Amino acid sequence: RMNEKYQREDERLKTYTNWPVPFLDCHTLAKTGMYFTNEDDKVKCYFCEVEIGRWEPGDQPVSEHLRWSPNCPLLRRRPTNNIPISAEALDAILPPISYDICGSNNSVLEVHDTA
Amino acid sequence: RTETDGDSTMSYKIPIHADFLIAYSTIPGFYSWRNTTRGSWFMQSLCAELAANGKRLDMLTLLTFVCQRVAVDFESCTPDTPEMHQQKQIPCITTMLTRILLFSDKGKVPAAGRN
Repeated sequence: RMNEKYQREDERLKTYTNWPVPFLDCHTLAKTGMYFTNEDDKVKCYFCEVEIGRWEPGDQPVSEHLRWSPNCPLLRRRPTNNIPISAEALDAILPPISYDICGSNNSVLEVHDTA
Repeated sequence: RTETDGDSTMSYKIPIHADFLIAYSTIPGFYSWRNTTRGSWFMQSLCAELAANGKRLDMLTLLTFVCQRVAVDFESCTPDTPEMHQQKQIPCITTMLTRILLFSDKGKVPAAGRN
């Protein structure tokens, strides 16, 4: 099991003391659920448990996180026990809320969509 | 349909339904899922696979990996509608192709199959 303290963004941020990837902003990673495993360049999300490593220049923390874990509760703006340093900063960086729909629950879109 | 190949004594016939390929996003009688901000699972997977391997692999191999992406990488996330939550999907490839289909570059010799 993961250490429970990693529900806190400040605790996640502390893990990046030896972060080896200069082109990836560890503040963004920590903000969006990731803490550094201290193994190569592998980070792990406290909320969906996805692990991502072998980062390449140009990789974006949030889109890469979403790519490998499309249902991460933090990224999908579901209720979590996350304790952010700044809720506003997190809100600004999270992808827009999205819904999974198919024939039978199309009404979901009409109810929530504010296009 | 009858095709003639050079020497008129060497003619052969092809069924009129040959060489069709129909790739359905889901199997008959089942729902097809779409994410409201990222697009349908099938199209996300098809585009990703074509972008990654479109010139390297033949069409049926590509579509096999599209099936793999949809089947493995996606699961519906609708906690508000428990009966639709955590559902899966598999595409359905109906092929009547009689040759290997490759989007190879001009001048490139495709991998040998029956010719």
